[in-house]
Amino acid sequence: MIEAYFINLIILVGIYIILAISLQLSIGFTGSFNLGHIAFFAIGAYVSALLTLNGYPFIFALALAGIIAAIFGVILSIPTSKLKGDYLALATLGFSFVIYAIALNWIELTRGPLGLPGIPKPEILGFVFSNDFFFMILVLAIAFVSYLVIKRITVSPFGRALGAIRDDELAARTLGKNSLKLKSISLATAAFFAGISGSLFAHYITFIDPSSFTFMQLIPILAIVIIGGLASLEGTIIAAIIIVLLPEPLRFIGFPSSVVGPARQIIYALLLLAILLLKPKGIMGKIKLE
Amino acid sequence: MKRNYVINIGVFIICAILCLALFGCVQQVKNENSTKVGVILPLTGFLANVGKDTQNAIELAVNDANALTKIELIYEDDACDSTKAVTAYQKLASVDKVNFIIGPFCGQSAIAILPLLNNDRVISISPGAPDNELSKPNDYFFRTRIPNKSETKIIVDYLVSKGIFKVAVYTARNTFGQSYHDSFVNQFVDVGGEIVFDDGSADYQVDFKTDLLKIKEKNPQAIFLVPASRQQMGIFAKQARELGVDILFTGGAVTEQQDLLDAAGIAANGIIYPYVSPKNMEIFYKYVAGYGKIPSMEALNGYDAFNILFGQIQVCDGNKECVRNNLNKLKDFNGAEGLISFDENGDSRTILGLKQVKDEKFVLLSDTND
Repeated sequence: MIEAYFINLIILVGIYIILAISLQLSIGFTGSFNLGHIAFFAIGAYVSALLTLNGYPFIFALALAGIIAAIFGVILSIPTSKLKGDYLALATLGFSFVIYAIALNWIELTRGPLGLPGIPKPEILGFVFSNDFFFMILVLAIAFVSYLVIKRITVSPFGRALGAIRDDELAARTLGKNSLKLKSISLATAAFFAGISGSLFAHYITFIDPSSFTFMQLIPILAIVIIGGLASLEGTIIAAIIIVLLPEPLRFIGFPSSVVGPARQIIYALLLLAILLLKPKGIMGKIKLE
Repeated sequence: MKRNYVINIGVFIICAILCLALFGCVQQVKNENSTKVGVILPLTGFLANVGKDTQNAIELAVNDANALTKIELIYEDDACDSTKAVTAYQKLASVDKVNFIIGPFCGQSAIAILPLLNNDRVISISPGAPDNELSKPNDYFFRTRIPNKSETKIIVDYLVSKGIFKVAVYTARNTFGQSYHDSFVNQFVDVGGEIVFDDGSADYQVDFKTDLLKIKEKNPQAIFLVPASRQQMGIFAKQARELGVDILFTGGAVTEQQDLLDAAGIAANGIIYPYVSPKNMEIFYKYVAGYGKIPSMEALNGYDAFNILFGQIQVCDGNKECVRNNLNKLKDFNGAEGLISFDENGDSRTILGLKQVKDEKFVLLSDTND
């Protein structure tokens, strides 16, 4: 049953790919330094978990997870529309703290720190994904569709308009582009896919609690986006695979048991540093991080 | 030139890792007949120190039982994160093919892997995870840790016996703290108590002064205090004394840790908490001699978890269904933390008493008979 371990890793890679390419749409393609992404992931996870725990079908919960996250994306885009760079980063970070606080303190709905255990495995048209192999196929299929959709967006005229806003918002507006509307749609799309991946995460782990959605959990996703290279979806996918799988070979290094935990972490951090030193723009980065 | 330098660093790091890997392989030559036991502990993250204590105790137990050639321990770190715990578990169960696991230590990790344990029929004895959520019958999960509700019961009884009915509650905002919180609040309100302040701490919080001032304003007679770590508890107690909050402090059985004394100093004096009685003092002192500090309850639970598991693996010759049946019937196992029996939920049933911190030492509470 060695494959169970690899299936688990592939599922996690798939979930991280959806999460990271949607963040890439926001950061790399639109130039909004959005740190609220983990909040959309949390919204998706909680919406989907609560709906299925209350007897709604998985497909409905999955769709609603994405839609509700997207609605929050639109809501977040309104007050932050005039903010740029660091200010936008801080405002969106604030949003992720708000969602975390709600998950932690609205105990009647979310059970607070106790979390939601026993989230059922997905069921589509009577077929239950109780076997992780089928779940892996579901995740990979959704990741592939997400990639196609986001790829299509970025090469469309709409995507080029987003790129124009990223490179020079004033110039884009002079040319008649409604930057507020474009940024809003971009953030909502990113939030939609984050919500979808949140839903998949909740149904895979079958237990969610607010600690899965802290700022600390955003760091690996941000690392994927930066290591993958801004404005490169393919780079992001490669980076997601690297970031999720890199710690795994370290499990097989026979460290003395007294240092096993910290040693793995230190080597992981060093490897990430080495990648960034060798590829300062990220693996397939097209634009520079400012 | 600069680029070469960067490449050199990269090459050096990769070589260093390869060397380590090689070193590891050389080290990993083990007895083929040994039984593999997975250990999932928080070896990094905010509970790393407790995880380390527990790891020390497990190693001590391995030595004491002369199990070095019969058991191969494989450590995995979950940093108290449910996702990492699932990956750690999958690695142990499918790559190492372990049938037995000690851990996971953290409640959220245990809840996340419980369905997997039952599905794969892997037996796990946790030295931690006191969450009430895990008190379920007919599963493959056991714990040497007493569940929260037994601990809070004895504290509630004590408070009532002292005529204390106005209490502040301050617990960690995670599954561990919330489980304590809910048990305490339910039991205390049932006997007519009033909770005048109810809030909690984040995992890495170190400043409690705002909350303490609010507590002071509400004027409770006592406080029930279970933050995420014992350092936090110590810092809380210290800041409380600085702000003149001089009321009775009560805690969970986790209170008895060196970390508390290190962080609080004399401010820890007077804290009352439940403990397991009677303790095996021989193991207690052996731990002190080996690691230079008193073992936490979690450490002793880890010691017991290993011994219980090892004993049954010996008896059943590694047959896991036999081990599970025997664990279900386990009665009065003489462990480091007193006599341990598992009830129908796989929870440890032990006798509890009360202890207090006095002159920076953990001593029996003088005015109770146990």
